[in-house]
Order: sequence, then structure tokens, then C-alpha cells
Amino acid sequence: MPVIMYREAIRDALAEEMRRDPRVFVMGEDVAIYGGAYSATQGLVQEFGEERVRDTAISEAAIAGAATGAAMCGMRPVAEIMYVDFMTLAMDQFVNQAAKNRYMFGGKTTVPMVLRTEGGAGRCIAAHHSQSLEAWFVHAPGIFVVMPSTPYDAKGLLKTCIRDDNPILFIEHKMLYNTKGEVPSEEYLIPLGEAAVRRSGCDVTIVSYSRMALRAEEAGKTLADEGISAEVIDLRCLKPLDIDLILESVKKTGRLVLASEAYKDGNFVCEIATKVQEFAFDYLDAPIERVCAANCPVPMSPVLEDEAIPRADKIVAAAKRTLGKA
Amino acid sequence: MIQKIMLPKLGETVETSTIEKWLKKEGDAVAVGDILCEITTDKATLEVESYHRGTLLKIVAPTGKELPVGTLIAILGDPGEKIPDEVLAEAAAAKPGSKSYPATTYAAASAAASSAAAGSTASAAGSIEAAPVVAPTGPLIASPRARRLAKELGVAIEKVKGTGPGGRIVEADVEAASKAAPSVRATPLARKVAAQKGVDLATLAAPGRKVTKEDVLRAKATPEAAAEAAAQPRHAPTPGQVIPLSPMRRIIAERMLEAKRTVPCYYLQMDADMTDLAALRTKLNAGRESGKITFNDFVLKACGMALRAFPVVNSRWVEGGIERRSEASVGLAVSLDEGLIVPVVRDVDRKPLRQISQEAADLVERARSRKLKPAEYQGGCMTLTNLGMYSIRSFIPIINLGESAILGLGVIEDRVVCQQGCMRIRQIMTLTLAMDHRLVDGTVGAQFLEMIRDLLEAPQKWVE
Repeated sequence: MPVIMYREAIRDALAEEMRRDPRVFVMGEDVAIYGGAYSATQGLVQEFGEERVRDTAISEAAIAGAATGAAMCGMRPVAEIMYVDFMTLAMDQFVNQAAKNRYMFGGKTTVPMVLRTEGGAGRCIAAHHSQSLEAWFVHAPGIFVVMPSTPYDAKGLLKTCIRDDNPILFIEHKMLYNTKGEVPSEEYLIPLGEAAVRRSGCDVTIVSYSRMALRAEEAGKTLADEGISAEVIDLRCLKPLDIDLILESVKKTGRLVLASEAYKDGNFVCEIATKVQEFAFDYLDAPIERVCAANCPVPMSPVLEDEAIPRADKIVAAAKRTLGKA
Repeated sequence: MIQKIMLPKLGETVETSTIEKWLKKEGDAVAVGDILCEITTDKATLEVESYHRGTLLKIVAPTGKELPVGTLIAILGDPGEKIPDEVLAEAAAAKPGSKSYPATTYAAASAAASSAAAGSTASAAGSIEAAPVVAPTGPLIASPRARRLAKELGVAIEKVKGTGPGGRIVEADVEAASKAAPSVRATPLARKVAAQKGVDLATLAAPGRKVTKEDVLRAKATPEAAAEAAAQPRHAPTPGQVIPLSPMRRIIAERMLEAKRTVPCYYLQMDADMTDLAALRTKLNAGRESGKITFNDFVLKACGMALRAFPVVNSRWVEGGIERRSEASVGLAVSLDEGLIVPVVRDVDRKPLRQISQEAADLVERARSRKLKPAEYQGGCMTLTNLGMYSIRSFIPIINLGESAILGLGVIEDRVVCQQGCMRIRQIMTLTLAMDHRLVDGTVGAQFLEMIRDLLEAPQKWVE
């Protein structure tokens, strides 16, 4: 199977969907001539031209608003917001218009748009370019939130998102663009709302997503070396959430560690913890552990950034605490 | 320094205690760990031990009187120390203290059984002044999972020693406690009934078989007869004796033999993922004490729908040809002490699940009490037979003469299955279909079984 980079998987998904459906087009800051801030749209303008690969003004509100309008007029826009941190400027268009229009118009319109953006820390580019803000969007009804961690998932899920009739926030991770993985050359789709079990185990369940899913896998390996069998789940989609798979796993292991790169307070994983105690309280053998980012703006100093963002060893320590082995 | 001694709370549910006897007199020297007095709760006699050293200045609480926990019972201090007026006022009032007792002013207590050990440490107590021998009893710390397992296994959780963080009782502790105690093999239903009726399963343990609901009910009726019954094998034959056939036994023998001799059967087997159906069933039965929908009820309806879709299966081999049937009726094999009988649920495809459930329950009940009318056990097109409750994974049943097929249901169990490249644990049931080849060929039989399987795997599509 061919091995390609995460950013190539994104680009391939976009190109394939644009070839398949003339309604699909790409827009955003520097997506055309420059090829995208993280090179995820490289080469698209050469193949599809400036009509379908559009550089926009530096206005996130305009990008999100234009995408919403285009989607309601029958197009299938894939708009790029350079950093998830800039979603604050697109918030009203996305959360108040795109997310609600289908509902408010009694189903007479749909908003089939994808907002691609990227988040996360790792490049020491400080508090305005390193955040993980997914919880805000999971909170708003009407939006799906997808956060793949591998090239395979990125391609299969982005294609599904483009064909879906709901507004979707597709959050990539800046440290994943150059990671490599096997991606089939033939077409495939990954359904929304299906988490993946990266490692099977019976002592403790570790649930994570995006880049933290890779660290969770690393933690799973370390734990295995110490004789602890961890089941590692990569959510892939935060909404719709594969809560059934999580519950199934927690019922088996009795212990749950939730790892996320977002700030700890009000983190999306708190929702998982709540659901688990609602539906599997009698299966818990230890308090649920959260491994999240420090409750401070993401620091720029490499030392502090590394300390603020969960590392694999912190996930390992949390897993051990659930087992009373800390 | 003045120390107030309060009546300790020696158990989660203890609200009052009575002082039986003071072991120290006013003016006595008290060391840490010395026993001040003995108290009785509604459960036990316990000793109140001192956390402090000094002189017993005043005994406030009399013996033989029931007092709320937290009541001031004595005052400790340096020899000759003056007791402050407000403490004296409290003593005079002898009313309950605050509900939140600071640990430092609390007397420690140890159960009578451990008093010897406590007493022996008291002499050397000077160096361990701060450490109470036994802390006041707090709430039981156990994980929800441990509590659930304890309930399932019938383990008394308050007797389990916790090894988790902070002494929490975790799953492994309950498992260990359960293994230490002799376990009783019993059916889940028997455990439930035993818990409801307050019957101790351990007294019903019988070698070589599981305790059943009937055992529990019998034990509830006559506890002393139960032990005797458990010692007896279920079906006790006298060696060498020929038992004349009962009419039912004779009919079963004749019909089974004839079916085996005259019906050319083939057998098909398929696994059904029952996970979603089990979840749906739990939802439909939530909050119901009786009238619960059984797995059989779902399968009855699925069979009916499949019969309706496959007229070739919904037919009968008769002299001169094949008779098509108009109604899709399915029999349900009911086991009785002397044999079995198959009452038929009519037109199952057209009835709501709840109605099928009620009718099936009624038929089974009347089958067991021998009150079925002949019309109620005739005219079925196929039969359902279930040995899942005996942990049978699959079995090949014999067709009920006059019908086209019989479906054998095995146990619904957790199995590892491969789904989209991932290993998943799902609740799987194996279906075994015996089909009369004179009526139905293999390809159609396979599609018929496949339809039943598909219906069982996606019940939300057809359950109303």
C-alpha cells in the first residue's frame, strides 16, 4: 500500500472529490498560489483553476459566511481557516448561521460545507496559534466535528465530510502534516461517528483523538512493557461520538483515561466522562482520569510548551493511578 | 489542656449509643489508647479509647442512657485544671454536639475483638500519640464496579479488605474475597430470585448441577426440605425398573422417530449479532417487573416475517403435493417434566411484539399447567426451540412432524468478532435451522435464515 503524508492525504481527498463533483470548490487564505499555509492544497489550482481554488481576503468572517451562502445555494464548499484560533472571527457565521439554518428554515435548506482548519501546539508559536478549541464547536448543535490522527483517516473522513449535508468542522493538527501512513490508492470512505481501537487491552481504556491519539498509542506501548494492558481508542470524530465503543471498552476494563491537547477546564473529554458515569457507573473501578493541557494560554517557550501539553509519560502516569500503581 | 470527649459515631448507621460502664473514674490518669468506657450500639458493644493523655476531670454522661452520637461525655485535662465555664455549661446541658466533629477532639474506638491488641499498644503509646489506633468509622470506600460485582457474586462488601488507592475496595478485592469463599453454581434467575426472597444460595448447593429457580422457591417453602432435595439427582431412576410410557412420552417417541425416518432434513447454521437487540430489549423492559419481552418473542416475530416473505417455507408436505399456508404461525417448544409440548403463536408477523410476548407467555404458562387446548398446539408452520439458558452454543433439533422447519437457538454470549478490521466483543447467538428438503432447497433455506438473522441484527427497523 502506498505510504503518503497526512497533508498529501488531505490534498488527494480534495482533488478526488473535486473531480467527482463539480459543485465542490476550495477557498481560503493562501490556498491557491501559495498552496496553503501547511501545504495541504498544493497543486490544486494548477489542476482546477482559480474559479474552483480561490484565494480570499484576510477575513475569516467573510470566508465562513461566503461558504455558508454558497452551500445554501447548492455548492459544496471546502473553506480553509488557517488556524483554529482564528475561528473566533468566523464564529457568528459558522455557529449562528451555518449550524442553525437547516433547523431554522424547517429543513428547506441544507448547509453542506466543510471548514478545514488546523490546531494544536508543537511549533512554539504561542497562544494565538497553538490552541485546541474543539470543545466550543462540539457544544453547538448542528455541527459535526472531525479530528483525524492518521493519513488514512484524514483522507477517508474528509471525503465523507465533503459528501455529507451538514456543516462540518474538520480540524487537522499542525504537527501531523508531515507524518506518514499507508493509504490505499483505491477509493474508500470512513463513516462519521466510528472510533478506532488502536490497541486492544483489558486493564485500562485510554481515549484520545488527533495528535494526542499517537501519544496515547505510545503510552499504550510503554504500559505494555510494564505488564499493563491498555485499550487505546482514537475517536476520529468528536461529533457524532462513538460512545458505544467507549462504553463497551470501559465495561471491560473498568478504568478510563481521557487524553486531550485542549485546556483542562471545560474540555470536550469532560462530556465523555459524564456520559460514562451516566451509562456505565457500575462498571467503574477507579475515578476517571483527565490528561489535558494546562489551564493557561499555550506558552511560547519550548520548555513551557512541552510542560503545558500532555506527553505520553503523563498518560502513562494517569493510567497507573487508575490501577493504584502510581 | 482541656479536651472534650464526645460520644463517637461507630458505624455509618449508628445515631445513638448507650454507655454501659465507665472504666476510668474522675481523677484517674489517662494515657493515649486507654479505654475510657464501654458503649453499646444497636449492633455491638465497643470500647471508647482516648486520643489524648491527661486526667479525667469530669464524667458528664451517665451510664445506661441512650445518647445521640456527638454528645459530650467526659472532660479531660491537666491535673487540677479548671474547666472553663462554657464547657461546664455544655456539660450541664448534655446535649448533642455539632454534627461535624473535628477529628482531634474525637475519641477513638476499637471493637471489643481487637481490644487486646489496642490495650497492649497503649503502654507504648507515648511515641505514637498522634496516631489513633482505629479511626472513627467513615463511609465504606468501594468503587461502583466493586459494589456491582459484590452484589452479583453475593459477597458482603463490608467484609472485603480494600487494596486500591486510599484503601478503596476495587474489583480485584471482591474477586479475591469471592474466590476465598466457596462459590455456588446457580442460574442467573436463581440468583435473582434468591436475592429477592432472601434465600442463601450456599445452603442449596448441589454437586454436579446448577441451583435453579425451582430449587430456590422450594427452599423458600420448606427450608429444611431443601438440603434433602439438593442431595437427590434431578431424575431418579430405580435401576432395572421399566417405566411404562406415559401418553405424552409415547407420542413424542413416535413423532420424533417418524420425523427422523421420513423427513429428509438439511441443516444450516449462522451467527446473529444480538448486541443491538439485547440493548433494545433492555430498553423496552426498563422499569417492568413482569410482562417482560423475551428474546424468544423477538425471534418468533422475525420467523413470522420471514415465513411471510418466503411462501415456499410457509407450506406443508401433504399427500399429493405441497400445501401453501395462509397464516404465518410459529410454535414454541416448552419443556415439561415428562416431555415437551409446542404451543403455537398465530399470525406472528401481523401482531405487535408486545402482543406476541403476552400471548407466548400465556401459552407457556398454560402449557406448564396442562391447560392447552388441542387447537393451541396444532397448525404451526415451524417451531422455535431454545437451549440457550443451559449454555448450549448450538444444537441440531428434529422437525416437528407436519412442519417445514425448526430453528434451534443457542446461548447469547460475548464473542470476539472481526468488524471492519477491528476486533470487537459482541453478543452472538448461533442459529441452527433444520429444513425439510422436500419443500425447500438449500439456496432458499439459506436466504430464509439470512432474513431471520438480518431482522435480529437490526430490530430497530421493525420493532414498533
